[in-house]
Amino acid sequence: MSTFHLDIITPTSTHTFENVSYLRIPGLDGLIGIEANHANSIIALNIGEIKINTSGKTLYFSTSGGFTDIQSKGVQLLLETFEESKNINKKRAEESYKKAKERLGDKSQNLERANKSLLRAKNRISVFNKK
Amino acid sequence: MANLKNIRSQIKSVTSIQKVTKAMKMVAAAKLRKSQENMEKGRPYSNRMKDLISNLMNDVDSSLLPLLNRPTKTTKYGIVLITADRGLAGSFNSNVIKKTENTINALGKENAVLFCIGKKGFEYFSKRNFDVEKYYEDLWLDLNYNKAINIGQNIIEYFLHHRVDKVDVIYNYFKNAASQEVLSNQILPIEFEQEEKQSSLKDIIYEPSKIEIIKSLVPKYFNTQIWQFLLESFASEQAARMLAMENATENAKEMISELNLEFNKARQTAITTEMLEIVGGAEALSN
Repeated sequence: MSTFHLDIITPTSTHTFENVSYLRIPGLDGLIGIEANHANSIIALNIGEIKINTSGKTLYFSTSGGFTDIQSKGVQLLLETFEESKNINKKRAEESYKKAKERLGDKSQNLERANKSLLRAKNRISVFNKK
Repeated sequence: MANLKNIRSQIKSVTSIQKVTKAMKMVAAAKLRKSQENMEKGRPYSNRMKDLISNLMNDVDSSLLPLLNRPTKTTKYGIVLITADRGLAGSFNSNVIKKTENTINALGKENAVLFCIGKKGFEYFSKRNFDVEKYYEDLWLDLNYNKAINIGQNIIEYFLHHRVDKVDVIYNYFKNAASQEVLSNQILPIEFEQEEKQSSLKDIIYEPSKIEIIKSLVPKYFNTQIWQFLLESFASEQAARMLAMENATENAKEMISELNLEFNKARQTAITTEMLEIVGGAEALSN
């Protein structure tokens, strides 16, 4: 099975994965799967879960959005935040979930922002449960 | 003999101050190294973002991007002031504060909307009855990217609701460990140098579309800029503190050697007086 090279670039760090056979990313309109020799493309990402199959292992990450840049030499993920499932602090995620819920009930708050943080917290909890 | 005791206690206190300044210098040096590393780590991300945007800009009508649009009339000026939470860093805080005050006075107090990052700037301006619109507290203790996102989103909201027409950030630019420069940079509306060369990004699939991608790219790019300014200022703060503390340590050293000299002189005098007394006493007895 042919594999490809994956870089995850965030504002605070860069991570490299070799021999990636399959990558699943949360596109704005739904999940998108990427294998080797994919056409060059730039894809915007939603809040969601990233799945990476590399050297027989499956890894799950949560992200709050970003971009995928697919080129013939490899794939780059530009992410504002990303956390591996085993590193997610479930307690903290549940707390921010609760907080966001409360804020959604309060009409004086910025609902759009509260909604987003609710989605982010939900996503982190669900990715945590994947490990 | 009181004099001797005085000098001794002075030497003791100066020595302990020297210990403190030395320790502070070491802490600042370690933090400086860390923040320089962080600056390096952030570069690939913001460079890649910038590449993507300038490549896409050629194909997209920039009037669709509100963050790039220059308003027809600029009446409200936003100023983001970045200072530290703590002093003892030479002229680090006072220089930016001075520049900000001059800028506000030139614009007129009622036209300036002030965003304060760092306690020192906030304290200065709120005490002098300036209108501080927003104060981001507890930032430097645990500096992370989420805080930059928060600040970025906040300022963007102000801009999109036309509560400010132009935003400048005033901060300490990190030239090198020995010198920092107070700079004022425009951050909104965002200005991009248009690249004339034909983009090499042909035959690329854009999902969902070019305009949607660039629309979500631009605010994210803005956040990286805020992050860069924060790191820059943090590095400058540590460098300034390092230098100030090094000077303080040097001064303490000088003071200690002066005090030691004085102490020895006083001791000599005391011994001489004592000897004279003894000799005088012995002579009086033998007579």
